Amino acid sequence: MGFRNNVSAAVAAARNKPHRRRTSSFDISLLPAESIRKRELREFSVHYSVSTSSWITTIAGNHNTNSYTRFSFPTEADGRRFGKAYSPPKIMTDSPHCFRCSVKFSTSTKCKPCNCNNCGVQICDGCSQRWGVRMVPKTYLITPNGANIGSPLTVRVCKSCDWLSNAFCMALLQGQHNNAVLLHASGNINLRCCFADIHKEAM
Amino acid sequence: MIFKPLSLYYVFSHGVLPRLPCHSLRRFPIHCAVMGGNLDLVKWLIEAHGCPISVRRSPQSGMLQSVQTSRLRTLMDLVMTGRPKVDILAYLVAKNLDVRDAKDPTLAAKTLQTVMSAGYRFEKDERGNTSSSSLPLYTNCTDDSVTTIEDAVSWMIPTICD
Repeated sequence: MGFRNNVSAAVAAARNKPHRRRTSSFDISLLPAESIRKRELREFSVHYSVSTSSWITTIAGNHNTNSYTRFSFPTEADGRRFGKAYSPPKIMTDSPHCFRCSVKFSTSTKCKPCNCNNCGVQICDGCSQRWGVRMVPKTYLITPNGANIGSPLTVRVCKSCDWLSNAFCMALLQGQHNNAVLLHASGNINLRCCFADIHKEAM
Repeated sequence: MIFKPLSLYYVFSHGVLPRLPCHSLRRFPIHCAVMGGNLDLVKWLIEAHGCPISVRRSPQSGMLQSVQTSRLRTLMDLVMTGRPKVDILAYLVAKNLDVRDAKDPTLAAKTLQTVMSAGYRFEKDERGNTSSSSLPLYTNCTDDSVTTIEDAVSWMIPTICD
């Protein structure tokens, strides 16, 4: 796990720094490395179409379904980047515990499992957060019959993904190249979607 | 009953009310990177990860039109306000963006005036980036109190409006 090692080194460096200029709740030293699961994207394929002389990227539908969607691109690199950015994550379905707080799921209404739409882990209600629907790629939301999941305006994500997204936004705003690359290596950052307003903390 | 923004945020984030999906300011990672003023980050996003900087062309000039924030600010607006970011401006122009593609049409002219009057020379260092040491005006503008993302704050403009 290269990402874990990099993170622990960076976290140690940030904690040992004698004069931290400003502490924020999105500081790199607070990175919850153990509660981040790098999302596994569903398979996508890129092939050249002779008839249209363009590159076709085929990505799978969300929620482990068998539907596929095709997009065409002028170059192969574009197609591969698109596949990487828009191929939906695999959704975990049979975990007995919440991924973040390890509470045991039960069939009662109090502790029903739900999925993070961004990385696919199963979480309890208290470990989840609502994002605007534009903050995850559109292809993450497609269900077999084409309807959106749950409320059409918000999607549910885990708090780790929420923290990562905000911390990445902060790193960009403060021009911290190393931190941004490190956070992006977690695999759960969407580079082609909006960030939410993080409520003046970015100042 | 009057809510302070912070208490409202608390209410939203703790699930009493759903967190509002439409925030006041929406922006893409590339906007944040340009605001942050780190050329390496901007290059990293555009070249290594293919972040789109433009989604359409202007019908008149045929130049690319930049992606916009929810307040209709383009990358050019962001790069020409706030902390001086001449290196990023040069990079974005090299990427075929139009300096006139800004919300404030006089911004490009003001920026040109500021850059030229500051004695900017088109020197390049060994990495191919324009060296900031050739910009005497900007040497005192790098302290941490300078914010980069407040909409109204503009560092370049007051120096030439006085």
